[in-house]
Amino acid sequence: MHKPKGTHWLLGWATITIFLALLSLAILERQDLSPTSQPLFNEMVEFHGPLKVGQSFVASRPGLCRVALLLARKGRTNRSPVVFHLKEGAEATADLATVTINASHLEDVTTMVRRPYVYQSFSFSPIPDSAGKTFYFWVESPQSPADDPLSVRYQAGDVYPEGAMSTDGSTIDGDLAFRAYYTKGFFGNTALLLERLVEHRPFPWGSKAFYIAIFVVYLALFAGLVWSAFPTPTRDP
Amino acid sequence: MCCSDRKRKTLALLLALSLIRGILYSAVTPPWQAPDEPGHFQYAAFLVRYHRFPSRQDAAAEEWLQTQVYVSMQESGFWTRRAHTLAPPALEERYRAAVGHPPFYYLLGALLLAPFSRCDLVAQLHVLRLGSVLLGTLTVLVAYLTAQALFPEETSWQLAVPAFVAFLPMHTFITSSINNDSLAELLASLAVYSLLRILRAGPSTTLRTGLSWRGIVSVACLLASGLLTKRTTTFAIPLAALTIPLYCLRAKSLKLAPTSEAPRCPLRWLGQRCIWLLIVSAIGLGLWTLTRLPSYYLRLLEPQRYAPAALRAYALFFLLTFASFWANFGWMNVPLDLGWYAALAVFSLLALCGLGFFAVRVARGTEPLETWQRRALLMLLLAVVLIFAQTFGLMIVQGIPQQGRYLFPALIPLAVFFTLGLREWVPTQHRSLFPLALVLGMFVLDSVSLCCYIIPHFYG
Repeated sequence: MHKPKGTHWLLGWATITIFLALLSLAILERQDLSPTSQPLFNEMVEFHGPLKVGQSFVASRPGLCRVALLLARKGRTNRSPVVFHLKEGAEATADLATVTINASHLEDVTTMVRRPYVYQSFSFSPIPDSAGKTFYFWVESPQSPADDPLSVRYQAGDVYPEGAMSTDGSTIDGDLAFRAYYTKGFFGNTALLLERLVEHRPFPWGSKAFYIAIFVVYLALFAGLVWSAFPTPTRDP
Repeated sequence: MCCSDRKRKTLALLLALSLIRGILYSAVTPPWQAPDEPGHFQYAAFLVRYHRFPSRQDAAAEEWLQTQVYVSMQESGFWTRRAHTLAPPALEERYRAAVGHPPFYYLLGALLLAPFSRCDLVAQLHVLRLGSVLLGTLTVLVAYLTAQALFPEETSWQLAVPAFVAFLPMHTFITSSINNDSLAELLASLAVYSLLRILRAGPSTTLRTGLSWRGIVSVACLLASGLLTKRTTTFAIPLAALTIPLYCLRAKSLKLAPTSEAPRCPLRWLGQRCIWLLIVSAIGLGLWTLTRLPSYYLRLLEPQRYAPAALRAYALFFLLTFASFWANFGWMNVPLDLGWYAALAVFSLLALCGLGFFAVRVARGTEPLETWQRRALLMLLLAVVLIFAQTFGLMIVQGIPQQGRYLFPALIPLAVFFTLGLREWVPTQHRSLFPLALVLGMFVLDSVSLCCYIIPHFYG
């Protein structure tokens, strides 16, 4: 059995490591983290026909490009369009963005065989100067019948003081569960993730370098395993 | 252990990977976000603080520790991340010390925790998590040893079994949290490995037998330690009992051999029989000790447990067990999308069909297996049957779903059959690539679990 030359082994190992690193970064790149959110909920409010449910919030960064909500339906029959509107403040007359999706994509709360509490995203063109501004979004489903309404999750009480929830234009005591996303790019996402990972943790778990080191060592070891396990005519006769 | 350089290198890499993946999962999972972690932690911390086991009254009355844990849980956003709710005014009863569990894991945990008892509470939590990571890595080593003992000639397949164990996302998640499952799994795996070694060595024509005093004592100790760790290892007792007839079958066939030691050395022959008597007595005693079990399992015979509505519920529970065997993180509140489970179900069915082909070949005698290998495979099959019977028996008796991690004490037998079954679909000339394909497939599942579900759920 011929042993591979050291440089060949190193080359193979380095190639796989770089490939894996790029692949992992590509996966992470697609996983946006939300800097502005209201994650709590204990109630559901229904909407159908002319009823509208909305929430105001303050954008914390520039480049607002997506809002996600916890929408649901009861049963599989409702396939009506769900329309999302975004405008600058509750008093503004013109929409900044309008996005329509089909209710068939929403979580069906009547079945146990489901992934619960999945946020439904509404993406739109980035708003470059969004930082610090108050926005208002609302959802409606004009074609949904009263006996088969859609629902959106919210938390009773004022848990998000920067904004307020409203139904049909009237403010109510509660806040919708939502997440707002911005065009941050990979580095923005990674920085936010690292900030959240080290929060309230002692050393070394409170150090960003610790997580980067584990990630790099993991990929390097995995590349080594793949290269070592790969049977080649010279290495595994 | 005689290994080639490459095998040794691959094993070392696999163990290092198992360790680093455990550290990664333990670091990425926010404090207290693994099943029953606050309860397990408080049990070990109580032992360190008061030098005695906590009672139910202690768990209710102990305020200092509960307050510390409550503050830490609140600080790390436990209730928001777990249930999307506000924190309650005080620690709820279900998050108090897990006093109902056997003590062995907590004793080890207390020993590990004692030098760090003055550290930050989250640092202590991470120390205990790292202890579990080490136990998980040792299980990967036992998986390798089991695969090597079972098919010594199949060098490429030997990598597949520990790789499956090392890269199974849910296994890594559980063995990187504070949980007695990690120790229970290691002890049960060691017991299965010891039984396999006994079957492999068997009663030979020389004086050396597989059933040495050392072997018996080690199996007995492992079974006892397992029971002192978690009740999910109970299946190993009937497994050991059922392994006896398998071993005796071989002993019987050898007894007929002209070179048998029995007639030559009656004392040793008698000694061997006494050993059996001892084992049977020990197992009988063990079964008798578990007095609760018979009446408990008698409930399985109640007809209302098999009503159509109950059967529909069991089907749903089975799906939950299946999902949480592969990947359902946090407190079972971070599942994957249904498509992933459907793909895993397809692979599981393929493995099952492949096993069927393998079994047919073994039955026809066209698979070149030695007698001890057939018996070892039968013993591993028994382990799988018993763990399923134990888990689903509890499901029927209690009427609640059982988590997939309760199958982990028999994870190595499950990994053996899963990899054997899947390998059947690979053409013989490409089988050396099978472990690599399995490793890559598991890596994809693991990366997706971590990057697309765990991180977005906890930090999104």
